[in-house]
Amino acid sequence: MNTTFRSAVLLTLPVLIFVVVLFVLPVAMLLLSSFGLPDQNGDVVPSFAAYDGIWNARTGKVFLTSLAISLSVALLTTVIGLQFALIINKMRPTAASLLTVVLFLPLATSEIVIGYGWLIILGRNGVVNLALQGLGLISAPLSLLYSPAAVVVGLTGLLLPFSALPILTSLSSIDSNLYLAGQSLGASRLRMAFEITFPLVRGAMLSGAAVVYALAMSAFAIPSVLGGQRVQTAPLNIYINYINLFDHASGSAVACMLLILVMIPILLFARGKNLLTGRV
Amino acid sequence: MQHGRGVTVSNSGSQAALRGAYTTPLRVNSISKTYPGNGAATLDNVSFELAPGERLSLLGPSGSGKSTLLHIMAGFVKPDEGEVYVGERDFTHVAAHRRGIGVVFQNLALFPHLTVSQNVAFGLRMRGVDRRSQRERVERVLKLVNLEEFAQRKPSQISGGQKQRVAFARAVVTEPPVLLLDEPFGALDTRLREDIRAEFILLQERLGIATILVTHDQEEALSFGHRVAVLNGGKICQIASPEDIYEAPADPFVATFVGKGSLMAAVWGGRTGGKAELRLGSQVLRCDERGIRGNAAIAAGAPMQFFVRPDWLSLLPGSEADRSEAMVGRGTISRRRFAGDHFEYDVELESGQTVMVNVSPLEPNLKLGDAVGVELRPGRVPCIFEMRRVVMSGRQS
Repeated sequence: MNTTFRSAVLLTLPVLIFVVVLFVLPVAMLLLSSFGLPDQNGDVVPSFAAYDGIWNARTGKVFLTSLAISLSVALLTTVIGLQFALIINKMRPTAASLLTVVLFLPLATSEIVIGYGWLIILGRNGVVNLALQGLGLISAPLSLLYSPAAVVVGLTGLLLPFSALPILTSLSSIDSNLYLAGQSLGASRLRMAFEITFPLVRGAMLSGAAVVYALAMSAFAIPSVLGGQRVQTAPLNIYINYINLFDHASGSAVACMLLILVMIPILLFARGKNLLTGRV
Repeated sequence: MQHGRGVTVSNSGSQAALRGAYTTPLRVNSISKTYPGNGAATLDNVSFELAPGERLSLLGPSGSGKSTLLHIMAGFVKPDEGEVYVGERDFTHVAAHRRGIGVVFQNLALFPHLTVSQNVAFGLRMRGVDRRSQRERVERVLKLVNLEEFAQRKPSQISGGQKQRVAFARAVVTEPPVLLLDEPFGALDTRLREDIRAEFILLQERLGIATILVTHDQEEALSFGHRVAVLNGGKICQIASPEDIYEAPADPFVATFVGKGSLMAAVWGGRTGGKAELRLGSQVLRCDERGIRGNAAIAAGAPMQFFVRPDWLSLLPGSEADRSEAMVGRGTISRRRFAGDHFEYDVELESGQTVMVNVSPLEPNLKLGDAVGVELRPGRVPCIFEMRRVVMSGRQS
């Protein structure tokens, strides 16, 4: 028992060091600095001033915007990701791997490049506006950019693989005999989708959604390019506090709030995972 | 077939037994199926009928079409030609989920996200059976397979043998007219496999559901079925009782696929007084003409095949060989193997062919290289096949 424990510690040591140095320490420092920064003399006076400072309607709106955008993105990527996974799963192997590569292209490209790509598509003289005008559906170009919707569209495209891939993995691991068994027991295709497929991919859908939510909450490049000045999400607010206002304490306070909001669903998910996937 | 019926009727509890007792539960008529790009037919004009309460083993090597046949009966695959009747109804074009045929799959295919009792209830739920009778019927069938205590477990939490019983319970709870078993015992080790098989037979007899077992294991096929259908190259070579399959195989394929034996080249000598005369090298053998397969008139000197099982033969010391009336040939022992309750000898005959003979350990021990005579035991009927038939039903591998 003792030796197992020791070898386990030894084996995980490199990862442990990595996590402590690169994650736990910075986060701890961030947390501390939100309760007061050292003054000219190097003395730290603990205070909740930074939290008082952000306890207002303006910051509240920032968090609401972030939450609304991230939850929409999580929902959209899950729905579209499920579609994608269902289609890829039905394809022949060569076509399936080709489409999987396409699915991953956004991750191989800089977020800034993708953001500017969307600018071209959604701009006043962009593809969408030209097409709608060409069809005579609108007379003047719509302003599609610099709105929460534009940010949602951009993030959905970027984060789709994080949702589609786990769903695809769990979908392709379903034993095809389960469907034959379902048929022999009197289940139609539709019933089997709800009784067999859905329960077996539900866990993957939720884990994908949790990851997408976390990434969307902390996304910076896409919201700043597609949201502009008008859509302020939490990461943008942190950036403004740190860089434009030199208000490190407020920036840290917002960052801590963001961290908590990101962690809540992930912890909930981790607790409920066993129940939801039906595996013990 | 006879053994099954008595038990069936004595079981008053099952509607399936009563329903099955008056009509043919399943009839397969001239089924053919060819998969595109596969050249040869997967199934070629296959027909058979299942009697009420009967257990039929569908035996064949891999690629013989037995799985395709099962999938056609279950409705997962449509045949190119032919019909499948369940009871009086033509089910050929009825979708699988409307057929109500029970299937136990090779890997069992239990739903991993459902508990044992939810797995068993699945078929009842799909048929819209109300909750109360669902619960009653699930309880009854779980009691039947001795799994009441495991009702709330997930399939991942029970043993291999218990999973088999859950799969069986799930397939029979809806009281299907026919039960199809697709090599469900394959994954178990030998001892457990025999136990579970015996248990399945017992349950099947209590419920009286006509059952088809698809398998490539000849021992399993013989011990499970009231009848055995041997499938090769998409055709049924023979459908008969296990005893007949073993003692009187219809063609060289059945002879060599089921059980052990030696297939040897011979020359037709003619027919006299109920005896067929064959020449094996220099040896002339006169054996029972009932062993001849096919009625066509055979020309003297025609090439034939002669088949004997090792337990139909005995060995004589070389010096006594001339006294025997039923000599198969003389030769020397080329291999000796101990098989528990008997020794298995290979004898290389003077004609150059090898024949396998079983000898009891009580008989005098023989050594490699000993000269012996091989004699046919009295009352045994060796099989005599025409060469033409061999070409037709040869293995397609």
